[in-house]
Amino acid sequence: MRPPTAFLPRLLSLSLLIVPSLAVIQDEAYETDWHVPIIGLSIQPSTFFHRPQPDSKASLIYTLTDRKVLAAINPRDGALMWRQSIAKDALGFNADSIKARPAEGKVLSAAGLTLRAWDANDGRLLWTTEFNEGVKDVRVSKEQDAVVLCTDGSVRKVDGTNGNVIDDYHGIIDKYTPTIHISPRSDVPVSLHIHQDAAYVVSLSPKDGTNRLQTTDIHRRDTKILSASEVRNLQSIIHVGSPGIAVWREDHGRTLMLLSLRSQSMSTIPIPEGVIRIDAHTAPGYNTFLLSFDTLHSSWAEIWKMDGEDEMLIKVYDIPAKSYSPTSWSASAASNGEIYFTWSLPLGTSEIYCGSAGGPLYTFLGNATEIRSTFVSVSEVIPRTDNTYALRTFVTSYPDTNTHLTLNGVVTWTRPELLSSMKAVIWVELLDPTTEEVEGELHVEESQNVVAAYIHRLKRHIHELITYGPSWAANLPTRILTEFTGAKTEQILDGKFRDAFGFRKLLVGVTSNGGMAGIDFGQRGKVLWFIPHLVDIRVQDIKGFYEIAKGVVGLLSSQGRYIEVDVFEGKLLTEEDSGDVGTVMATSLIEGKGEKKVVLAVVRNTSGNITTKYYGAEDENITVSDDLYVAIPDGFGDLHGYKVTPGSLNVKKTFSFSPPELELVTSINTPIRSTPPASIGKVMGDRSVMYKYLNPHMILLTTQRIDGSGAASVYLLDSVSGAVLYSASHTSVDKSKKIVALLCENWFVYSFYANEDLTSDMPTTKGYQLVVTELYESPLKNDRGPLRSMEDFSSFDPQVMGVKPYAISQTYVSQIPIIAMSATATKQSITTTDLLVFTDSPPSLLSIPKRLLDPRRPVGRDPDTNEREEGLLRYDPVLPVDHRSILTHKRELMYIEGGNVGISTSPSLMESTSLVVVWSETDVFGTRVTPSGPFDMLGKGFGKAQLVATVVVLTVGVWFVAPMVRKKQINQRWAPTSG
Amino acid sequence: MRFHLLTFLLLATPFTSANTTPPPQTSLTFHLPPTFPGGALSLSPQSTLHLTTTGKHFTALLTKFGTFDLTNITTGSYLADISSREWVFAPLRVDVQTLADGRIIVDSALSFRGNEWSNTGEKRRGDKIELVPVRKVEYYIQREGFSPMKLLGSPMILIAIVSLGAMYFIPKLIDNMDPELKAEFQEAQKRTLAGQQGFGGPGRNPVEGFDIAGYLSGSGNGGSSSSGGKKK
Repeated sequence: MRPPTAFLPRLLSLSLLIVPSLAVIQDEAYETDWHVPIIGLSIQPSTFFHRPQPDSKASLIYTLTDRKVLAAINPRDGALMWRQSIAKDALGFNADSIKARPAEGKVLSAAGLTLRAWDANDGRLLWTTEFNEGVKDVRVSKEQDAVVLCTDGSVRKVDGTNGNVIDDYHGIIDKYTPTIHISPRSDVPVSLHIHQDAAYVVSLSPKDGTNRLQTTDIHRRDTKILSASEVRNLQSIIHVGSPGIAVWREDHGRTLMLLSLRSQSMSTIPIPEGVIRIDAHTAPGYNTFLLSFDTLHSSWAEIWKMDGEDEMLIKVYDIPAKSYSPTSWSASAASNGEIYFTWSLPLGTSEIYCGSAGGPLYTFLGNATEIRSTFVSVSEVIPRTDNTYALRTFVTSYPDTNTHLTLNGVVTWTRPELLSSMKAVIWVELLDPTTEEVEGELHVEESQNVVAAYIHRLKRHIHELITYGPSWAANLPTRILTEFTGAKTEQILDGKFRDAFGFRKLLVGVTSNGGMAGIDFGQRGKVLWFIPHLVDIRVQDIKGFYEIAKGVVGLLSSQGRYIEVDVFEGKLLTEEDSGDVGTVMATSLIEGKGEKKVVLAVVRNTSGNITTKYYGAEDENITVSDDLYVAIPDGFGDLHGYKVTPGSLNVKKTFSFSPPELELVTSINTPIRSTPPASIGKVMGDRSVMYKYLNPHMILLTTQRIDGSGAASVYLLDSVSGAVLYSASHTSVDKSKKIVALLCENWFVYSFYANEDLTSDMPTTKGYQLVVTELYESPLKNDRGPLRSMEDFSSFDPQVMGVKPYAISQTYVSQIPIIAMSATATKQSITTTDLLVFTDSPPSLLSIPKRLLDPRRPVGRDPDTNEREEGLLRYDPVLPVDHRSILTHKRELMYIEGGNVGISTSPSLMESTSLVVVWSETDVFGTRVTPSGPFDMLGKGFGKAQLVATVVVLTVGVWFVAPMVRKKQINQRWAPTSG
Repeated sequence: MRFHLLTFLLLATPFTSANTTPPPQTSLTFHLPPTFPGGALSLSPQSTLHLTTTGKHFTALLTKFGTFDLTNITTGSYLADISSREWVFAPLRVDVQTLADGRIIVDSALSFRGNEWSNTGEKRRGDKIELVPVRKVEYYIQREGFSPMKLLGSPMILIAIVSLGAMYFIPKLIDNMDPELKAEFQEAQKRTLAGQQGFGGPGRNPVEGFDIAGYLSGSGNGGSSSSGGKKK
C-alpha cells in the first residue's frame, strides 16, 4: 500500500477508472424507480397536530412510531416533510419508553438515555442531551423548557434553547437502584405532570409489601400515597397527566380509580366484564376529559370533569356503546376555547362530542371501505358559526395499520404503513395477455371433437380478422402519431396481466404483523390487496414462501401453519394448522402431480427426530423427483446434512459439520440464483477458457470466534457430502458487526469490518473489507480438471470427493459498510452481473459491476493486452464509490441500526434489464437495472421524430441534387473545353 | 448456536461489570469549515457522522448549527466517516488517549481508505475537529442527445463544410478575376494539369489504371508507364 501523500489525485484517478456504463441517467431518475417511505405504526400519546412555527398558519402532523421514527406529515397530501430515527442507540427499549412532545418551533423526543430537540420545520437536530439513566417521561413547561423524569426517579429541567440542564432534583422518590429486575424495595417512577409551576412525579411504591401508587410534589417534596389497594403493575396505570389526574386499575383490574393529583379527590368506577382497553383523552388546559372503554365487540365512553375549587371529579355524561371494536378517540382544543372529542369509527365515520352537552354535536358519515376499524387517531375540529363543523382526523386503521387523513369523513390520502419491516418478499410473474388468450382457446379446441374444433378455430380466425380489420387499421395513424408526440407511450396495465417488457410484476410480502400484501411493482409500489393475521409472527418464523402454481403462493411457518393465497385476487384459498408436528426446519419446493407444486418440509418432531411432511399436496401423491439435500443447524453450533427422498418419509443423515472450537456459525448462505448460467466457462483474453466450478449443492458458512481474538472464517461446503470445498480465515475482525455474505453461481463475496492487526508484520488498515472469490474447475486454462468431460457427477464419487475447486480470491477495502447484498438476475444470464449493495452511509442501494471485483485483476503491474481485452484493471486495494452508480440517487432512504434489509432481484423479459426491490423497516424501493446498458431497448434518447426527419431531409436532398449532378456530368463530357 | 452465545454472554457479563470503574470519557465536536459552501443547510438533516473502531460504533446527527456532537467517547483509535448525500468528506482518524494524569487528549489526522493504520501523517490536537470536504456528489449522468450545434463541432463535418464552400466559391472567384489574370491563371492550371498527366504526378492514385494483365504477364515496370498514353 502506498503512503498517504497523493490522496486527492488518487481519488480522482480512481473515479476515472470506473466506466460509467451503469449509472442513473438524469431523465430516468424518478421515472424508472419508485420509493415508498414508511414510518410505522403511530403511538397515540406521541402523535399530534402542531404548528411548526408559532406564527405559521397551517399545522403539520407529527408522529412517533413503533419503528422509533419521528416524522412530520403534510396533512394536505400525506407527504413526509421529514423523518428521523430517534433511536440509533436505543434498541431494546420498548415502544412505551419513547416519547415525542410538541414545543414552540420544535419537537422533543426521548428515547433511551437521550433527549433530543428537532426543528419542527425541517427536522434538523437542534440539540441532544444525554443522561446517565433512561428517560421515563418528558413534559414541556410554560417557559418552553423540558422537564425530564429519569428511570432513577430524578427530575431535571433542561433549557429548551440549548439542551443544558438548568435544575436537577434528586432523591425525590426512594432511592432506586437500577437493575434489570425491578427491585421490590424501590420506587418505580411512572410519569410526570406539570401544572403551572408545580411538578408532580407519580411513582409505584412497594409500601407495606404491596405496590401503591404515590405522587410527589418535586418542589415541596411531599409524597402522598394515592391507591387504596394493590396496583399490580405498570400496565395497570392508564393515564397520568392533564388535567392533573391519575387513572389506574385496581382490585385485580375490577375497579377503575380516578384521582385529582392536587386536591386528592377520588372517584371509582367498576369496570364491566370483558373490557380490554381503557384510555383517557384530554387536551392540555382543560378540565374535561374522556374515558374510553373497548371490549372485543363494542366501545363506549364517559365524559368527566374536574369541577370547582376542590377539584371534585364528576361524570358529565355517558356516550352509549356502539358495536364496533376497536375504535379510537381523540380530544382537541378549538379556536373558540371549547374542547371537542372525536370518535373515529369504521369507514371514516366520525362523531364530534363536546364537554358539556349530551349526544353527538355532529356526525360525518364515511364510506371508506379501507378503514375497517380504527386504532389511533388525532383530530382537529373547527367550529363554524352556523353550528356546523369542519373535521380532519389522522387515523390509523386496523388491522392493516395504514394511516389515513379523513376530511369531514372522506379519506383524502392513505399512507401504506403496513409495508414497514416486511418479513419476506417473493416475486410473482404475471400472466401474458396474448398467450393466455390463445392457450384458453386451444384448451377449448382440444376438448371438442374435430368438426366442432374446426368450426371453433374458423370462428376464432374470423373474429381475429374483425379485431385486426379496418377499424384497427383506421386507428393506426393516431397510434403512430402518439408514438411521435411521446404522449402516454407507456400504458398502465393492471389486473393479472403483465406488460410487453415484463417490467410489471407482483411482489407478495409477509408484513410485520403476519399479514400478506400484494404490491404492484409496475405501479410504483401500490398495495393491491392485504390479508391480515395469517401467521402469528411473534412466535412463528417464515420457513417457506413459494409460488406453488400460477398466481398462487404458499406460506409455511415454523410451527407448520400452511397458507395458500391467490395473489391475483388477493384471496385466501386454504389455511391449515398441522397441530404439533414439531418444528419445521427447512423447506423445499418439489413437483406435484398436477400443475401445483408441493412444499416439502423437513420437520423436527416433538421427540427430536427428523421427518418430512408435505404441504399443499392433495393426497401425499407426488411424482418422485430427485433426492433433496438440506443442511440444518442443530442449535448447538453444528450443522447436519440430510438426504430427503420425495415420496417417502425417509430422511437420511449424510454428514455433520462442526466448526472448530470456539467458532460460532453466524450465517448460512445458499446460492441466490436458480437460473442456469449462460456459459460454463469464462473466456480469457487469449481465447482460452477457464471452466467455472458450477455445483448447485454449495453452502457458504461464516463463523466468528467468540473468544475475542477477532478471528473469523468462511467455509464453503458441499451440502451433499459435507466436504469442505474452500475455507478462509481472517484476523482482527470486529465481531460486533455482521459478516454479510453472498453466494452466486461460481463466486461468492463477503464483507466484514477489520481492525488493524497488531500482531501482523505487514502494515494493515482499518475499515470494511470485501473479499471476492471465484471458483474454477482447474487452475489450468482449457482444462476441466479431474471432472473432465463428465456429463454429471456425484458428490460421493471417489474420483470427485477429494477434488477441490480452484479458487482465486482478492480482498478490497470498501469505503462503505455493507448491510445487505444481492446480485442482478437476467433472463438468460448473458448480461454481466452487478453486485447490489445496501449501505447505511448514507442509506442507499449501490450497484458495483462484478467485473470491477474480478480477483484476477493484475497486482502491482499494468494489465497486458489480453487482460485489457478482458476489461481487467490494475488491482487497487481500495474499491471506489462512484456516486453515479447509486441506484437510489437523491432519494432519502433510512436505515435503523440493527434493522433488517432485504434485496431481491428478478429478471424482466428484456435480457438487459433486472428488476430490483429493497425493503427495510422504513422503505420499499424498486428500480430497474441494466448492468450492460439497455442494449435491447430504445431509450428516451432515441428520437423517432429526428430519425424520420433525417430520412426525409436526405431523400429530399438526393431528389434535389440528383438532376444537378447528372447535368454536371453530362456537361463535363460534352461541353467544349475552353481554349 | 444461540445457546453458545447466551452462555458466553452470561459468563462474560459478571467479569466485565463487577470490578470496573467507568472508563474515562470525553466529548468530541466535529464542525464544518467556515468556508463550507452553503453552510450546514446545504446538507441533508440526516447527514451522520460514524465513529468506528472494533466493537464500538458511535453516531451523531448533523445539528442545525453545522456540528456533529458526540459525548461519552472512550479511549481508542477511531475512524470518523461522514455519511452525506450531498458531499464527500475525507475520512479522519481520531485517537482518544488517556494520559497518566487522567487527562484525555484527542488527536485527529487526515486519513484515506486503505491507509496503513500505523502511518498517521500530520496530527492536530484538540476535541474540536474540522471536517475536510472533498467534493460535491454528482448522482446523474446527462444523456448524450442529438444537437445540431454538437454536429457542427465535429472536425469531419467542418472539413466537409469548408470544402463544399470552396467548391462553390472558387469558380466564382475565378470568374470575377480580370481577364488578363484569368488567362494567366488558366495557363498555369493547364500546365500543372498537363504535368500531372504526363508524369503520373503526386495527385494520381497509382492503383488507378494499374495494368494487372501486364503485371501478371511479367512486363516489369507496372501500370504507370502505360497509363500516361491514355490521353495524349
